[in-house]
Amino acid sequence: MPVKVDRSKSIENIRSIERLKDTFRAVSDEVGKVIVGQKKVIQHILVAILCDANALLESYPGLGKTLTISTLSKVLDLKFRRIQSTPDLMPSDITGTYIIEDVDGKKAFKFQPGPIFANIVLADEINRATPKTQSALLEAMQEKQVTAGNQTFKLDLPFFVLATQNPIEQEGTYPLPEAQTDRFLLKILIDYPKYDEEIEIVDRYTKTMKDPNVRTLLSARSLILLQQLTRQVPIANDLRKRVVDIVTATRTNKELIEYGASPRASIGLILAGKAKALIEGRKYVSEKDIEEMAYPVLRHRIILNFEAEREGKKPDDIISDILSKKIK
Amino acid sequence: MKSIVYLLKELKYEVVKMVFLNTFLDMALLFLGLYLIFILLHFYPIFMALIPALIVFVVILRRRLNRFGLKSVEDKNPDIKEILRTAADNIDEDNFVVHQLHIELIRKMKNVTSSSFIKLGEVSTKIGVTLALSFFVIFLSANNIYIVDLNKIFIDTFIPTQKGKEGFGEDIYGDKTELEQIDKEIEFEFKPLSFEINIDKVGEVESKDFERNYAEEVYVTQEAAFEENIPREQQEIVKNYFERIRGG
Repeated sequence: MPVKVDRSKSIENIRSIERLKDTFRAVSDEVGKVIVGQKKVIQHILVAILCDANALLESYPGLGKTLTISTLSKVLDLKFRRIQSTPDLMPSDITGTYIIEDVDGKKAFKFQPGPIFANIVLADEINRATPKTQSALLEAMQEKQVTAGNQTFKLDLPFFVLATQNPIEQEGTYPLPEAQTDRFLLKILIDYPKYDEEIEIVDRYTKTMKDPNVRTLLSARSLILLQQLTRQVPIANDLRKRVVDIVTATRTNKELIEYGASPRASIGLILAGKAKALIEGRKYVSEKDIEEMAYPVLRHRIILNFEAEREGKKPDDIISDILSKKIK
Repeated sequence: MKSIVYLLKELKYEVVKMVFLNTFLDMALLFLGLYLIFILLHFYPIFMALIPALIVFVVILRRRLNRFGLKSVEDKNPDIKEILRTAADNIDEDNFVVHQLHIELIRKMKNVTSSSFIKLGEVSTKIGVTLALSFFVIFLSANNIYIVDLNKIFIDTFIPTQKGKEGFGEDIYGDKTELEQIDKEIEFEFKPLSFEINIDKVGEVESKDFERNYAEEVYVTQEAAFEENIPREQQEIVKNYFERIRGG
């Protein structure tokens, strides 16, 4: 449970961008009390939150996806909900539904909000939900509102959806169409922990039943201000052109790529670069921000053709080639 | 905002100075190089070397000013490359982050000096080569050393009809073979830097109007004897006298 809000580190008191670096490091350290390692994953999730966007998380089972998100929501003082996707999950199970209620002896319809009414929503194994349910969730992600019957309900801000996918056990799943994966700003891959990290995980979770306490370091209001601040981070013109060059290179190369990234990827890559700069306490976007964020921004937007698959290439290999200008 | 605009202007001014210096050195090198070649080829007029040097100076200066800009500052100070570029590209933006960026840039620029814009090794080399070329030019000119007399070849090739005529020939001092016909060959030369007679001062012949001027003491008078008062009766005697003298 959250202990207290540390107001001294809230955005209202931040007078310089450099101090934001300490704030985000503190957030990462606080999550690190629960999650061993995975610093990059935590940073990329923070990038998605600062960009006011959503992220797709892909990993094998048991790597702490849910725990990471729930811990982060505690540190950021955000309302967290989890949706376990199954083939029989209905859109109303996510968005909410009208129930009949007895008010002063009269029957009346009352809207019962679904789990989507939260700040951070974890849609676990989204590819197990039917396309209809997926669409309902993605619509809420895009519009930040839910329509039930003839009424529209605004979602609380900040609103962030983290959907997870399992790269194995593809039977009975409904893979997200390309048009829908495009709506996720980032696709974050979680890898297995290193040997030493796994030793620490085993040690930490076999000695006691008690979960570690985490402090709340930022408020929802602070996060909204940080989201506004993210968009103020300036970027040099040549770097902006470089982003467009990278994204258009995914479309022009037909030897290995079937479909490339849309202009939404260009917007996303610049925004992600800005957010990463802010997390690192910089007032400008650096080339290394763009190069690092190109992988999570582009990997789910590139559809490789048969030739690339025959050569055993992965989207990350193609992105590496584009960044090193082997592919233009 | 004003301070960053001023800072960028100052930076650009420093860059212009650096580009100007570099280009001037390049021009000097080119001029002296061409001058040296002209001397070795005995090709005159030597001031022709100045024309390509000036053209190259203007062209290179324009190209470098357009191309370099703040890039040369970035190259010399890679740690401020991205921040400087971002600040310059977002000069019109006015928000909290950009303001903080400007403060950081001003702080970092305090450590940047004008001398850091100059590639010391390159400039030193250029100055050294310029001095060496200058020395060679003076030495070769003073001693009238050349490899090929391009001037002579030029005259022989393009003005062949003049050869052998009086006053022309191989040079303005006459035909060398005529000198060889004398028992002892006379050799002489004019050194460009030791002229005693400056033939350049011999100008064109001035044209003047022709004036008829006569001396005042010269005048025509009638022969006194022509109308001598000879008496009529003696005129016949005088006539006969003169006819006799004449042999008539």
